[in-house]
Formats: sequence, structure tokens, C-alpha cells
Amino acid sequence: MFRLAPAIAALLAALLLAACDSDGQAGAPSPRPSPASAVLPMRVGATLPLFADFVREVGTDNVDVFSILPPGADPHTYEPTPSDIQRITEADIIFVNNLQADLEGSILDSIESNKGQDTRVIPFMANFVSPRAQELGDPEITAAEAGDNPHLWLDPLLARAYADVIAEALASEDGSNAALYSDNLSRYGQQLVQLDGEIAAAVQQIPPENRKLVTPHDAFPHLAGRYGLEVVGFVVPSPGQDPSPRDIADLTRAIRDQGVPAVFTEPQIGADSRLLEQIAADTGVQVCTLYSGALTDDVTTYIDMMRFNADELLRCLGDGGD
Amino acid sequence: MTNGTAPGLVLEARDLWAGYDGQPALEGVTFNIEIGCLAGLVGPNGSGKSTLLRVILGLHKPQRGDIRVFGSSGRPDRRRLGYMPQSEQVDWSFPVTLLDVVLMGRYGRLGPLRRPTEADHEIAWQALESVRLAGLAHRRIGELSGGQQRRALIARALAQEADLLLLDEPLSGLDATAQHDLIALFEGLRHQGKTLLVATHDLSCVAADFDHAILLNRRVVAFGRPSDVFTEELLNTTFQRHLLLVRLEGRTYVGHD
Amino acid sequence: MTEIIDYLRDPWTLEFMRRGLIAAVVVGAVAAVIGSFVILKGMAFIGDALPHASFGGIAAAFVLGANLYLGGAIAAVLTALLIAFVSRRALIKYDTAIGILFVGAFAAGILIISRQTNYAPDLFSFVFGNVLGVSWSDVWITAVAGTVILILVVLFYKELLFVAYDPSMAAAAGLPVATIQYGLMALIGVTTVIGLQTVGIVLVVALLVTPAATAQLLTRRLPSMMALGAVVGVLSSLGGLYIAYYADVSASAAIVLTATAFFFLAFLLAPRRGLLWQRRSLPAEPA
Repeated sequence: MFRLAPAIAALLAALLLAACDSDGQAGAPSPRPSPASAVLPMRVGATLPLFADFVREVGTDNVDVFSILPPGADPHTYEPTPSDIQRITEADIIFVNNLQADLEGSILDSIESNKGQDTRVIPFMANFVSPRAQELGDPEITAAEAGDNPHLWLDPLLARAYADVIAEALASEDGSNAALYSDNLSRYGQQLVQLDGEIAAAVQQIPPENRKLVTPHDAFPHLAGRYGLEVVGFVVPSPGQDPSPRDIADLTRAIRDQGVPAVFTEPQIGADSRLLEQIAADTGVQVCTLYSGALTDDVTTYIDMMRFNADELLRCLGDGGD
Repeated sequence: MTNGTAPGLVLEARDLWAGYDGQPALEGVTFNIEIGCLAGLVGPNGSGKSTLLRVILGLHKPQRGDIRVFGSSGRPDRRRLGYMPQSEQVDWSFPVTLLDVVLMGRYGRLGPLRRPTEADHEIAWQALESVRLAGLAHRRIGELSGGQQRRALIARALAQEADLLLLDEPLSGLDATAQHDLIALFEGLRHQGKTLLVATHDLSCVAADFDHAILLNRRVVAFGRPSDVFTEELLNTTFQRHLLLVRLEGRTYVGHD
Repeated sequence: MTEIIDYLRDPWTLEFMRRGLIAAVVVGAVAAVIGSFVILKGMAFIGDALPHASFGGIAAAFVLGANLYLGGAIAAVLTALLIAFVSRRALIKYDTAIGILFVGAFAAGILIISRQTNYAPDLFSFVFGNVLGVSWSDVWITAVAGTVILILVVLFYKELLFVAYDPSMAAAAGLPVATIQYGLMALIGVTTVIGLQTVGIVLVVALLVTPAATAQLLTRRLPSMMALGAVVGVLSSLGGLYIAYYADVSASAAIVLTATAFFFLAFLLAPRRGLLWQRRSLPAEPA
């Protein structure tokens, strides 16, 4: 028994050393690349698949992108796997929506604990100006500081702001290819402008009195603001809250009184979507789908997602829909 | 082995072996008990007393050997066997009244889906009368004193109209008066033709009031009348320690050395 | 006077409130009856354990493309039976067996899901109901199942009582103790699943335990404990829904807190067993 103690102490010491050492990276520590040029492809992570899509558009072949959240998963409850953690540790850049735990709560903690020494974590919302800057009287206030609703990407013109942040970050990491990123940004920006036009045209075909949104969560103020849709109501502001009887009564009454033709649930299975379906059954309105941010197997890029949303809005709110 | 038990034998054990997970509890146990007998089962802790009772009840399968209850070696007629477990195993905090507990003695005869009848209630009340607890029938079982709780369990066995009662440590933890009352009850039951096998630590009591004793220490050291088997030699063998026998005015007292 | 009547009637003009009331009342009554056995046998945390265990079945059903509700229900009932089996064989207490098995089933679910490389939605809470979101078919199913459970308890009451109270004596009396214990666990499993899928996890845990515990303080016999527990369960649901409606708060939370308030009332005021009762009747012991 007495001899066991030194052996255990040695074992503990060894474990402690190993733990300290793994804080670095596998193999010899690589020197921080100079801004002039970087090791390509850059390893870039993003919390949501749709951010990963943006990064691919801007970075093309120079980036090896991974999304921490797999398609279809719920950002509020997802737990990163060991391979996710490994990639977080090895990433050069990780893009998150916001450092305040809003949407990406559990993932932010994992990123914070496991990022490599040289990993830069870049929050989108802290890096562009809030769409309400003018209203708030501060032309420089960022979206994060303004406390904007985090689903800013649902406005294609704001999605452009996301792409701007990405281009800038990639260029500062890999200056020698700055021109490439700038070109990609322009090209993508034009696609976004075209997308904006398509969506606007679709909404135009919806009779004005039908341009109403009822959704499980408060995810669509930016989309609604851009295209003149009215957010009639939502079940709960964000997932995890329990609605009161009055919340449901108010929403039900609003759907009836305002003649809302359809409600929109999210593509993922969720308790609030089911509640909304029950309310729709009670009011006799149609149930359709609107993506708020998660991509799925059928809808794999941001532009596809927004086109789907536009088609669905027209199909369900437009005249001649069933 | 078809010729039946000798008439008058309620319990007949021949070369019983039983154990748990490889640990032997009973080794080659052999003894007889006649009808109307008040028999004491004595032995130190771990001697297999509880196991033996469980084997007789059919709750534990012996590895070897033969046991005949009421003359047959098949499954015993459970209705004729009354059982009073050690009181640590009983849940005294359950919301049941004394009457509820005694009525449980009738459940074995009722079968599923049937409710206790007037007749069943009548029998339960008589059982309560015979242990002199009728006045407490509607009290929660947990509100009764230790002695009363024991009598309650005996009343349950009586309500069952059992002929053979197997009692596991009914006297432990009771004061002298309560013990005395219980023994008087046992005597009364004997006179009604019932047979009792009582596992107990109280050797003086067995010596004084019981007409049969089985000395058990995994094997039967001896069985017979206490006056015959309570010798220093046999008791020391059973208990593996020195016991003191004092005979005073025709009574035998057993104590520790 | 009419004002009071209006006040009392208002919530029920809304259809979803009517459905929620019926569902909560049925679950409240049935859960209290079954819950009496649960708390007397010291297994109160099974109400939380079985929903977690059902996740294993949901994950398996998801991967196999089968009905998720059914998968969850099967997993919960199987776990309940397994708890009885392990407890009997290994001679460990119920709460230990519960602790071991529900975590295992839950973890199995997590494992199965983590093997999916894509489309892994939040399955765990998928089958959780919400008292404000029940459909009429949910209400029917709950009412029918609840009635069947209550009928079974009434029919086999004395067997359930005997085996719960004194299993060795019951065995000695010739009752099929194992079958009855498994049967009781199956009833507990089904009750929990119905409650979970109708009114959600928070309510099912509370309604299984709290009303029965309240009744235990106020009654002496099991039948009256079950009956009073059912009444307390029903009143908690009713009162909680009123509170949620007028105070604009979560219905589940309001019902649970109402049930808890009833418990504390009984805790303080119960004749002979209540705290205040014991304090005031401190007699001076004779020397």
C-alpha cells in the first residue's frame, strides 16, 4: 500500500503534464502565419451551416470550411462531438453570429474552451453596423451593441454584410489573395441583389392584406421589414419558453381577426412548431414551412433556402393558393 | 416414498439441504413435528432458521432432501400455512389499518377480482378478538405498539385459518409482559389444535413453555422435548459458545456464561 | 355575482383551454392513484426517469423510420419492467435500479443519435406534450387509457395492496408476486408515458408525486389516499389553469406550483401530522 502512493503520484503528474501539453496543438507548434500569406487551404469554422455556405462563396478553394452544427440540428441543444472539438482546436478562424449567448448558446462555450492558441473567433454581429443605426441615432452602432434580433441573415442585403465580414477576415489572414476574396465577394453580392429582387417580386404577387407572418419564434423581423410583411405574432419569442394561455389565445384571435391565410412552422421538429400546428387546426388555416436558419438535406445553400422561403410565401399567402 | 407420513405429523423434514449463491444455509436437516405442538426453533444468528421457515413455506427451493407438509411433499396448501415474517421486513408506514392487515389473511382464499365478503369480515373480526385487538381495528398499523403489531400479524395468520403457523422471531424486542401475553396466545392456539413452529432466541422461554425444540446450526443438532435436548453439551454445540444452564424449582433458565 | 360567474367561466370559452383542462384533470386523477404506489414504494423519481429512458426508444424509432411516440412508449414501459426485474434479481432497492437503467437507456439514445451524421433534430423533447397544445384525439386517448388504468387498479386492488405492502407474506399466501410487481410497473410506465406525451415532462413528474404525497398526510388508508390524491390532482389542474389564464404565466408551471402549495398547506395543517399541529400540542411530559 505504501509503495502504491509514489506510483499514483507519478501517474497523476504524467496526466497533468499531458493535459497541459494538449492545450497546444498536435505536433510541433506552428508559427503564426504572417498576414502576407497563410498556409492554404485555411481551416475555417462556422457555427451554422448557412454561415459555412457564405464562407465557401467568398473563400472558394482557399478555405476548408466546416460547420459545427450539422444540418437539421437545433443550435440550442446541440452538443459538439469529439471530432467537432478537434476541428475547433485546429481552426484558423471561427465565425459565430454573436458572442452573447443568444442562438448558439451551448456551442459558444465549446468554442471558448477548445479554440487553438491561434484561432480567431469573429462574431458577425459585432462587425457590421446595425440596420437600426439611424433609428437609434448612432451611425456607428453595431448590430451586437444594438441588441438586434440575431436572425439578420434573413434579409439578403444584410447577408451581404456577413459576406463583407468574411472577406475582410480572410484577407487579413491571407493578404496575398485579398483580390480573389474581393472578386468573390462582388460576385456573390450580385447574386444576393438578384435574390433580393426575386423575393420582392414574389411578395408583390401576394395581396397586401395577406402579407402576414405567424411563426413559432420571433425569427423574422428582418425578413418582414425588408419585404413589407407584417409579423402578426409568434408562439414564443425563442425556443425553450412556455407560452401562457393568453399568448395562445391572443395568437389564435389575431389569426382569426386578421384573416391570416397560413401559418409557417420550421422544418425541424420542435415543440413550438407542434403547438402552432394545433392552433392552425383550431383556426382552420394552412400549415406551411419557413426556414429561419437551419439548412437541411433538401435545402443546402443560403440562396436555395431564401428561394424556398419566397416560393412558400407566395404559395401559401398568395391568391389561388388552396 | 409414497407411504404417507405417520398420522399426527404435520411437518416432516428429511435430509434437507439449502443455500444461497453457494453459501450453505441448511445441511442435512431432519426433524418431525406433530399436530398441536408448540415447537421452538433455536440457534444462533445465521444458523438457517429463517431459511428453514421459507423452505417449509415453499418460498425457497431446497437443493436436496424431502419436506412433507400435512403429509404431502408437493406444493403445500398455502391456505393452511400461516406466516409471520420478522418485523423488520414489514412496512409499518403504509397507510393500512389493523383491520386491513388482518383481512389480507383472507386474500389467499379469494382469488383475483373478488372482494372480501361479510363472512371474511366476520372471520377477521374473530381473529382480532382472539388476540384482543378488536378495539384498535381502525387504527393505522404504524400507530400500534410493538407487541400489538406482533399480535396483529398473528391475527392475520389466524384469519387465514391456517393450521400450521410459522413465526419468525415473534418475541424479539418485546418487554416481558408483551412476551408473556404472546406465549399465552400461543398456548391458546395449541389448544385449538393448531401447530406452531417459532424461531426464537429466547431459550429460557422455550425451555419453560414449549413442548418441542429443534436445535439448529445449519444442521439439526438435536430435536425433542426441551427437557431432553437442553443439555449443556448440546446447547454449546449449537451455539458454539458456553451457555449456562440453571435449573431452579423445576424450571430451566439458559444464560450466557 | 354574475361577475364572479363570468370570472369563473371565461377561461373555458377558449377551446384549447377546455381540451387542456380535460387532459390535465384526467392525468391528474390517474397519476395520483398510480402515484400512491410510487411514493409508498419510494420510487418518486421514476416520474422523471421514465421520460428520459423513453429517449432511447425515440432515437431507435427515428433511425428505423418508425413512429416516434410508439418508440418512446415502448422504451419507457420496457425500462419500467426491467427496473422490477433487476430489483428483484439483484436484490437492490428500486431507486438504485431506476438510477442505473434510465441513464443507460438515455445514453443509448444519445449514442444512436450521435452516429447520425446529419439531420439530428431535438428528439428528446419531441414527444413531450404541452397542456395547452393537446388535440381532441389526444384527449380521447388519454381519457380511454386513463379509464382502463383505473379499472385495472380497482379490479386488482387487493392484490396490488398485498404485494406492495408485504411481498413475502403475499408470496407465502400463494399470490403470483412477480407477475403483480411487473404489472404494477407496467401501469406506472403507461401512466407516465400518457402523461408525458399529453401534458409534458414537468407536469407528469409533479402530478405523479405531489398530490399523492399531500393525500398521504391527510388520510389513514390507501383507498382514501388514492381518492383524495385524485381530488387534489384535479383541483391542482383546475386551479393552475385559472392562475395561468389570469396571471398570464406558463400553464404547466402554474399547475405544478398549485399542487405544491396544496402540499405545503397539508404539511403545515394536517391533523396530528402537520407541523403546526405538532408544535401547538406539545404537552408537558409528566415526570
